[in-house]
This record gives sequence, C-alpha cells and structure tokens, in this order.
Amino acid sequence: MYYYIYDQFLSQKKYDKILTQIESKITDLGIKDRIIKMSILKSVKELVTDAIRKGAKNIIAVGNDQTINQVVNLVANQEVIVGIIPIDKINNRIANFLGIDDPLEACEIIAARKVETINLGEVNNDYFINSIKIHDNNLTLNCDEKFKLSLTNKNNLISIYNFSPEFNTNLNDQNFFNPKDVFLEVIVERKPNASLDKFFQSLLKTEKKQLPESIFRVKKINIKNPLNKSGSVLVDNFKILKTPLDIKISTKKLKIIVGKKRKF
Amino acid sequence: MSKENFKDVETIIGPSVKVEGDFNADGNVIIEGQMLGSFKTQKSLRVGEEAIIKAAIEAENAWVGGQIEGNLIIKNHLELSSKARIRGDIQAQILTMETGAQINGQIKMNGEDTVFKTMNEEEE
Repeated sequence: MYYYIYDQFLSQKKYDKILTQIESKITDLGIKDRIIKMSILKSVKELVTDAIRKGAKNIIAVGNDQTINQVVNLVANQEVIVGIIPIDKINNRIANFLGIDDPLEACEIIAARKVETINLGEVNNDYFINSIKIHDNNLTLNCDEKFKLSLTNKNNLISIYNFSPEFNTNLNDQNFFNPKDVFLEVIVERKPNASLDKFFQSLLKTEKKQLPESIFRVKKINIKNPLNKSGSVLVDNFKILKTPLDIKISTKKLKIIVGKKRKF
Repeated sequence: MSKENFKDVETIIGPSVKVEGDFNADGNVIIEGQMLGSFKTQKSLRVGEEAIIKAAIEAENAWVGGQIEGNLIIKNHLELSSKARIRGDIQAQILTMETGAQINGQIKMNGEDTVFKTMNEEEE
C-alpha cells in the first residue's frame, strides 16, 4: 500500500495544478492508494502512525527536505520504504541527490521501486538525513574523542554532511559523501551571502567547483560551547537544536526509493 | 604544490581552523591552519605557508612551507620551502631544502646514527 503524505505548504492554491497532475499520474501507474494531508489540526506524527497501523508499506513524502526529515524521524524504526515526490526546485537537495528532480518523473521512479538502503545521521535522540550547520563560531567540535576542532575566523561556518554538500566540490568523485559509509564529513565553508553569490554565479554562468576550506571525515562528534553556554545548530536546514549535542551515524538504516540519476 | 594539485586529499585543515589533540589520518593531508598536539598520517602531508604547528609529526612524505614546533619523523621525502621554519628534530630518508629554510634541531637521515648539528647549535 502506498501512502502519500502531503506537506502543509501544498495547501496553497499555486500547487493545485501540480498536485492534480501527480494524482492523475499515480492513478495511471496504479500506485495511488491513500493521500493524507498535513494540517494545523493533524500532526505529521498522527498521520504517519495511523498510516503504518493501517498497513502502509510505502510512505511517500510529497514536499521538500523538511517533509522528508519529518517523515523519516517517524518511520526510522518501522519496516517501511520511503519515497519522495519533490515539489519546487529549491529546498529539495535530498531528492536531487537520490536522482529525483521532477515531481511527475518521481511518480514513475516510485512505480519502478528501486530501493537502496542508506545510513541516517543521529543527533541526540533525533535522526537527520543530510546536514547540520553550525553558525555559532563559539562552539567546538570534539571529533572521535581524539581531537578538538574550532574556528578562528568568524566569517566561516562549520557544516556536517551525511551525503550531499550544498556546493560543488572537487571531492565528489572521491570517497567522500557516501550515504552507505560510516563517516560524516565536517566541512568549513564561507558563510553564504546569497545575493552576492548569485550575482557572481550569474556572471560566471556556472558554479565553480572548488575544494572546501577544510574537510574532515569523522565517525562521532560532540558539539558544545567551551564556556558551558548554550549554542544552537540547524538540522536539515529547518530544525534548530540546542547544544550540547552528540552526533554520529545511526545504526538505524533507511530504505528509500531512488532514481537512475542518483549520485552514489 | 598548490592545494588543487595535491591529489586524493583526505583531510584539509584550512586557515580558519584550529585542531587540538591527537590527529591520525590514513590519506594525504593539507594543513594551512593551526595544529596542536600530535599528528600522524600514512601518506603525505602538505604544510602551507601560513600554517602554525606545535605538534610531533609523522608522515610518509612532507612538504613544509610554514612553521613547525615539534619533532618530524618522515619515512621518505621531506621538502622544506624557503619559508619553512622548523624548531625540532628531523628524521627523514631524503631531505630537500630551499634557500632560506630554517631548522633549529638535529637531523637524522637514512636510518643511521649520523647526526648533523645546525649552525645555531654550534654557535651555542
């Protein structure tokens, strides 16, 4: 049984057309079982738990990276397969990495049902799919209980990635950013100045590939403020968590439907 | 040897990063920031001109352009650029130095007991 979880933002009128097209497509493909819509009144937890109780074997997150994170945190301990239908080009990095770019193409990918098992990240008692960003320069990272990493330049930020950095690096061809390995990549990059970066990229036409300022491959990270003050990090680009934090690759794995264009 | 042509890099410690503790790597490493403690890699190390290292270092090969305070054990080839400043003992199979590089410490080569004292030490 296929259960489609629509994110709350899809209730906006501008998404009516694409949702109609998706529903028509999944009907044609014979994979339309139940559609559930998130709302202010019904939490995603209620919806997903109810779907699993009713026998859902495939939970399809329709929305963006945030939708996927919410769904995955609820199904990580269940025997279900997760699929993705990305809406909008922006904020769909996870789908893009898994080889899913277009919502209608995503329906065909779900019907083909090529399943891969990937590692999830774990931060305290939560799961994360791809990234943790540390904008607070006062925080230090204790890595693998062996060395401590801190920043000396406030214009940079530290990011931790499970598999997909948010810029093109020359490292992609190597053994970095593999969702099947036991490593997390810690990267130091320049704090983004969105409008300026876009301006320069438009001049250059294509984004230049470059090595990150710093990169480390680690298995376990503890983040804290050395002065015992509270700090915060951004998980999967939407969830804020307070320090201290213990981060690692989880023993729980995620079964997820992928496309042919996946980047691993 | 620029950062871009240092092939198959495993770790980069950039100019804005300070690492303290025991750092062990299996692959090639670039250090352009600060490293305090001890450092070991099975492959090559590149130390940038702005790097500041206070650590005992072990590597297969090393190219040094910055400051190191600590002993270096390099199994194969150690290259020191004109801006290299080493305060510590060196052990290496092959040593190449550019004019201007400074060593304050003892040098032991080829696994033999031959020890060369630097000019500074002779003056003392």
